Amino acid sequence: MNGIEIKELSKVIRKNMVLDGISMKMIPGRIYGFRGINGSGKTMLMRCIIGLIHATEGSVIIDGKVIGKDIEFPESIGFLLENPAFLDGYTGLQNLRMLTSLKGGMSDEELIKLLERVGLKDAAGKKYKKYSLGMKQRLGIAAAVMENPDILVLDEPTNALDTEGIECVKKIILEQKERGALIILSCHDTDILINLSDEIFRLENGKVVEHIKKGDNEDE
Amino acid sequence: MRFIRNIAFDIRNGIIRHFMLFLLPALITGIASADCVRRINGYLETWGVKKSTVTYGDIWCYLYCGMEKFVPAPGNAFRFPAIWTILFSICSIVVLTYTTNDMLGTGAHVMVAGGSRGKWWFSKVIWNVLSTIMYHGITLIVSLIVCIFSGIRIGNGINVGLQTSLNEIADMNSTFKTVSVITPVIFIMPVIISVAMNLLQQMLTLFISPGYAFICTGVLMMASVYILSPLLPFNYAMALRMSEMYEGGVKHMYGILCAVLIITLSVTVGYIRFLRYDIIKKEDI
Repeated sequence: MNGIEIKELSKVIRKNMVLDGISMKMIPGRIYGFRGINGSGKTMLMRCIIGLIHATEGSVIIDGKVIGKDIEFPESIGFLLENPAFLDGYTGLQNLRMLTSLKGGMSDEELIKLLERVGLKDAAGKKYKKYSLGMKQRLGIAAAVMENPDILVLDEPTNALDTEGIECVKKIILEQKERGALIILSCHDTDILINLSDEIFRLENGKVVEHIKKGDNEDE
Repeated sequence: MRFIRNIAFDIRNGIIRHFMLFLLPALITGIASADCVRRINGYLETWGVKKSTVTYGDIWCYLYCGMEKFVPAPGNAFRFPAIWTILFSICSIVVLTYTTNDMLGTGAHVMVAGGSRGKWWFSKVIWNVLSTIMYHGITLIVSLIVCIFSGIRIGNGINVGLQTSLNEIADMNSTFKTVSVITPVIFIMPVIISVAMNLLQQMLTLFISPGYAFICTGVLMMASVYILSPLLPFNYAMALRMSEMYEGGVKHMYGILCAVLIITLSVTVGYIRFLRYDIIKKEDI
């Protein structure tokens, strides 16, 4: 994967400009942090990259292919958007098994290992509806990184997590970066975002108002 | 292969895991059929008619007959076909929200993993058709069970006198004039129309909320009950409105054409719409 190029991306929903002329380039092996208050456009931008919503103007290009035109969704992507959504009646393991079966499949052994990494090994056989918020979040992260995707989109991955959970997520994100994944991350906790990200974009009213690279002292 | 997996997911998640919803037709049919048997027994006793003249066709007709043509006139009150309306409304409700809920939940992952919006949409179409057929299949099985346990003969005949009494038919000169059996086409038409209308409803949920989509099909249903017209699709789902049973009724060929047209339109428009559909929660807008 060569990276993601976003060109003059705008999105209007019900006459509201939720994304306004965003342009940026992202390359694999780096973490891109997104900051901004609620409604600043972070999640909308992520949805555009995943292909869940379409640009009103501009484009998201992945490996030279335009999302919504050449391809409908990125070929290798894992994501966690806001609250994780799984099947209530399934166990954590069953949920992951169901998702992985759609692409070819990971073995149960691999899935258990993955659950262990996010601290859910003991809850693998527990029904999702009985999971706490933090456990649900951990399962969401496991599902996102499950098949080592080229692109990883994580919207508020530390929501509802305790200190140990946050450390676990940070570790996983850094492992994914090491592996060469392109990571797009949003987080209300500025310290975590600064700590993890190679570049940070601050969004306001759907526009990028600030772009900081690690080590930079001044805005671009 | 991914498409097959998509369908398998929808069958597992949308039908098997929601089996409680499919208990509704069983419950409704069980109650309605038992009531029908009670009324049949009352009729047989009152008129001294042999039980052998009544068959399963009479119970089926009680569930699916709808109502004869309504002619507004002084003294002719509009008699609402309650059982028929409940059967079709519940069927619409059973398939109402799964598509919308799924696309905003686990379905989004399924869709992205499948790599295609089209495959996801067509998988939901197949799920909808299967669910509707299953719904009416349950209705059929439960009514058959009630029929067997009440000692009524399995057959497709209609006891005209009984049906006239059960459905309070006024227009005896036109109703049941042509045939007095449930022909295969009369038997299958409610299912075909139900499939078409549920697909129409599914397509509408891409434009309006599921609640409004349900109201839209509900309005079509009510209009069909009130007005006998070949342009109102639910007329073809009422046995008493079919030309085979009612002299001035609607022709099943038009019904099949109407259903094919609605199905084709719903699936195609839905597909085109879904290709550009923004998958986003209302509260996120």
